[in-house]
Amino acid sequence: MMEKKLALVGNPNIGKTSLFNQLTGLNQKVANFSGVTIERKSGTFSAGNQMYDLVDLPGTYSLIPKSKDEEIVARQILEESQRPDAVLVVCDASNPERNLLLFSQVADLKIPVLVALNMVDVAEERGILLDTQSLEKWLGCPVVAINARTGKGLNELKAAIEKAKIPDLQIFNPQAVFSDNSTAEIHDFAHWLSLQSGQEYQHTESETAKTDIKSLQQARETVYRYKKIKEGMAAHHIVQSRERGNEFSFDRWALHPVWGYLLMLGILIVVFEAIFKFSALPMDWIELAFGHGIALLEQALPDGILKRLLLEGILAGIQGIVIFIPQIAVLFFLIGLMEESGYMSRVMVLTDMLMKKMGLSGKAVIPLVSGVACAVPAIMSTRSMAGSRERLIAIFVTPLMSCSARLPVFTLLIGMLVPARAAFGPLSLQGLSLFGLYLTGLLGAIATAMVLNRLMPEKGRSTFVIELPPYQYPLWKNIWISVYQKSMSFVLEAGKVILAISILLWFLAGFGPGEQMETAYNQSLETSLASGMQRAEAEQIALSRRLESSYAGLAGKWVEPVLKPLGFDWKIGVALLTSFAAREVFVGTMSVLYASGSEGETEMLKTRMLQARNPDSGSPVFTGPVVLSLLVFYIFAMQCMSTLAVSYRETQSWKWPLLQLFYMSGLAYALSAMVFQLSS
Amino acid sequence: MPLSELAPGSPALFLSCSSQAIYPKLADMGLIEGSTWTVIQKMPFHGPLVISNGSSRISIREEDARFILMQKTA
Repeated sequence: MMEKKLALVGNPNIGKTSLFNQLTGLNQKVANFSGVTIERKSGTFSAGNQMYDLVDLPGTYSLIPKSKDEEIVARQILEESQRPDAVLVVCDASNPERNLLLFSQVADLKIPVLVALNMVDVAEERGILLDTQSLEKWLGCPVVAINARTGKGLNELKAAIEKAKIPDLQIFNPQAVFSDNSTAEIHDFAHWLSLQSGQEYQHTESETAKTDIKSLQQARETVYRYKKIKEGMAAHHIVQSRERGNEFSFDRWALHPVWGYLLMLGILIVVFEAIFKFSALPMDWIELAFGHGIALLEQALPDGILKRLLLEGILAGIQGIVIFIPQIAVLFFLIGLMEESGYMSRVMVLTDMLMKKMGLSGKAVIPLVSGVACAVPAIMSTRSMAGSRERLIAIFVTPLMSCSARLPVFTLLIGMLVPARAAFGPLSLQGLSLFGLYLTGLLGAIATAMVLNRLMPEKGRSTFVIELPPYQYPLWKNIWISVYQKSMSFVLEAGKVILAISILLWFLAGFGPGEQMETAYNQSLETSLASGMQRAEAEQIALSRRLESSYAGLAGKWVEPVLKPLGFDWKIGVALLTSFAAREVFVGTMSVLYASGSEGETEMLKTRMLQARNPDSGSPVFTGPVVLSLLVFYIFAMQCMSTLAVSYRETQSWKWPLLQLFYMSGLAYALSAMVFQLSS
Repeated sequence: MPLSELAPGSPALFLSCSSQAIYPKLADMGLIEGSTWTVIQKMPFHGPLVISNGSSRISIREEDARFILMQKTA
């Protein structure tokens, strides 16, 4: 039997995602709507003998397009090729007028409709009593009372799908709404809607004098709809009683001018702490598992180039991807918690003042906070931002937030520079230094956004209009599905780039021109052994000589003159080049270059690096100024191919990723040089 | 008077909005002629306002709220 196509439409924050998850479970696919980078979630389920393909359209208040998200909704229903067999409109029972606005627009498209009236039981508890039967009679299409959180009414809803029909309620009336002459040419609502292109409205200089006819028409059409809906609801006695609930009462604290900010600060600190605390253990497990796996394969497989490629290129690359999943999962779990409970939109209100100064709005909180884990999913989360200008600024500055890949580098370098002493209370000097690095990154992001805000052509001020949903207990199923999908998108998006680069680096570090590498290795080994050194240590040193003669080593020497003003030698140069795939590769490369055995032993690496002497002058390589300069470099430099790839995908042009690359690397170079010159 | 100057706690009727950038958006959310709204909270340093009509809460920037005309009831 043919699969029938069903579109899911509804206001934001009313349980649309919950219903989608209830109906489809994990039978979900995440892709993009063709031509735009807006997530398209679809899933299948069966009702009776019929299979349905359900498309979850972005949450919207209206079909009249005012942002990219909303344009998609109208297009998916209107376009011939996309046209669903029926539309499932989710309505929130505690806010019937606003939800029926969207319903009435869908109804006017003359397409079979079915209404899922969500949270009727909860609305009743809050004191809003609806007459579902009268509503069904008035609208002229099936209305099923459900609770998307508990799953109540789901079977009835499934059974009613085949009864979906074009509603009797038709509101669109151009003669009543539009005064200009064009009304004669408007056939129906679908036609009028297609004339409302998805342009972005911006404030103009003389606001009152120049009022756009289109936006005025749109507002007038909406007002007319509301009027008709109110009349209809009164005539059909839809609302039996309406009292005020207390589902917003926490706002007294959350939005308090003093306590609100303190609470937010506290929650953000907890989020920050949790990313590291909760992910430390699973990260250890992953390291252990890969260590064991590689050791097993090392013995089981026959020696040869393929074995080296598998172990040192491919598996090392996969480990470099998998190791970040715990941090990303923890972060998106916490962000999901904040979104599900309704608190996230309060954070947007609290931060909007600061964000406005950077040309952003409170909505930029999500990408900036996510950036602490990984810029890749953070940049993908900018999709919900309305203005393209605001979105570009957010994409541009997000990689300046210190991500989890910088952490191993920071930890190593701080350990070399700052003594492990307590500062005050539970805070250590090293911990404070780490906090300082994150703060520097944040300040860099803020300053950059402010500069961009000045430089970028402005079509007018940006706007910020958001709904604050009622607080509710989070639905774990929704959070888990979101965590799973975000982690998968990281693995697929960033993962393939990290893997590819890691294979390339394996080649560059494992091969060199002619026989130079083998000669260097053998010579070093002979000399060391002749001087009475242990075999294991001699081999480590020989490996480092070998790397020196590889393509990667040669490249490091080649860039050394350029890095001189920063205080970096060729070994650091090699590590900078290899860590271009992902920043944490810096530590692994240093371990090889300083012959300090396996990657896990950072203590040994730290000692080796501190002992290192310049072969010409005999002075230490890693002096205070050099380490400081390196820290500054890693705060600012765009050492991440995956971020560039995602920036390209999200902006659909190379202009932005290239600007990011040159700006961030240039800034890192200049600031590192400055810090090095001033401190030495 | 403009919504931006309304004191928190006292309900007011929505009269009109003279900004084309936000009017259609506000209308979608139910800020239409004849609807009653109350300012719940004004964030410090001219930050955004939070307004409520009983069933939903909306946040608008103060600078945008200047374009919205309200009439105090009672």
